[in-house]
Amino acid sequence: MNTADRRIAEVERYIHELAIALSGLPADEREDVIASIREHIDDSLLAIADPTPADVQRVLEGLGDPLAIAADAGAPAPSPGPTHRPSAPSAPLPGGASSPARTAGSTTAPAAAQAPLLEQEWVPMAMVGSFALAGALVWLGGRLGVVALTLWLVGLVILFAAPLWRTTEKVVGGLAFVIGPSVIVGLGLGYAPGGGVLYEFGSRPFELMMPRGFAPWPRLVEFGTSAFVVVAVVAAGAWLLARGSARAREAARRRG
Amino acid sequence: MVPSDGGFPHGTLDSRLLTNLRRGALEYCVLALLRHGESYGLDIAHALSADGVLITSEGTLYPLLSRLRKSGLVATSWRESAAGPPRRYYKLTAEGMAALAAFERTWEPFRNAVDRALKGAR
Repeated sequence: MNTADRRIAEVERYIHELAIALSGLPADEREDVIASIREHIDDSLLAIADPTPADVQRVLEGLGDPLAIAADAGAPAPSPGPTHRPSAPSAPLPGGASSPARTAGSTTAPAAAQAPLLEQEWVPMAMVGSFALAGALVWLGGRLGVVALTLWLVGLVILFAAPLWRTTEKVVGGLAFVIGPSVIVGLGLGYAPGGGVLYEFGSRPFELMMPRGFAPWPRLVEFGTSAFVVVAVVAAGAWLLARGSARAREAARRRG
Repeated sequence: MVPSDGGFPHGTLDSRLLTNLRRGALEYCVLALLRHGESYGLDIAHALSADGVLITSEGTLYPLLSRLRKSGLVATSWRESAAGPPRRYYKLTAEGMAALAAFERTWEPFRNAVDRALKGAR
């Protein structure tokens, strides 16, 4: 990918995240906001002779987090709620010159709009918790069970469905939580006593921590690999928890 | 990509307080910027974000402009720009002018009262 392509991809990803974040706004308002933000980006980049990806990054950072923009815009959640939520009280308009529609809206507007389900502050904890619980179950039980697999899937669904993580963060998390456990389980099954049981789910994957009848060398490699993977996955989880929580708090603050 | 987590350039300013204070005042700052002539998005954004007090994320300006346009306080028109595609320019309407005047009449006594209270004058 050349520099120009990377620039465009970066901008399109931002616009895409913004469109998702704003999906609760009326269509015409959403289109309007997206078009004018696109214009802002184009105008900013036109002013630079030969914009680098770092320039693009700076422009996008100046615009701010799409979720924060949506929260400020009072975008109601794209949720199945039966009632249409009025926009957040960030646009009080003067009594003197106000239209009837506006006055009606302002009297019914709640003090603070409720955050959409997957933007609430417990969501990052639930995501990381699902993975942690799944890991603990496999570790302690010594086998892959339906409960652990379900929890793992729940964690993945939350990670990808919640708007609390940026695209890059979702990708990093997806890689960590898919590849990490696969490597560990794969190692465990591969080294299970008897060998050749890669397809057998219940064959004590965590024998890998104390494989019987193996020379010390492969044991060391195996232990080192799984220790490294575990540390990497835990670090990724902690990072995603921190990012997601920060964004949920920020969104709540802007709403309230 | 590193999203801004509401990181604030002025370490001493409370961003939560600022968010609340901006509410209800920011849109009139936008109207005031347009008082002496029309302007386009990036220009308005730069003017408002220059000191990092009125706006921290420039993107938050655009939903605001959209609402102001919807409620008839500003109007937009397309204009050719020297370099690149045409831009939309924002202009104060008569209604916007009246709204701004009403805000100013209210703001001055409000600000003075707050200042007096903060200074402890009786």
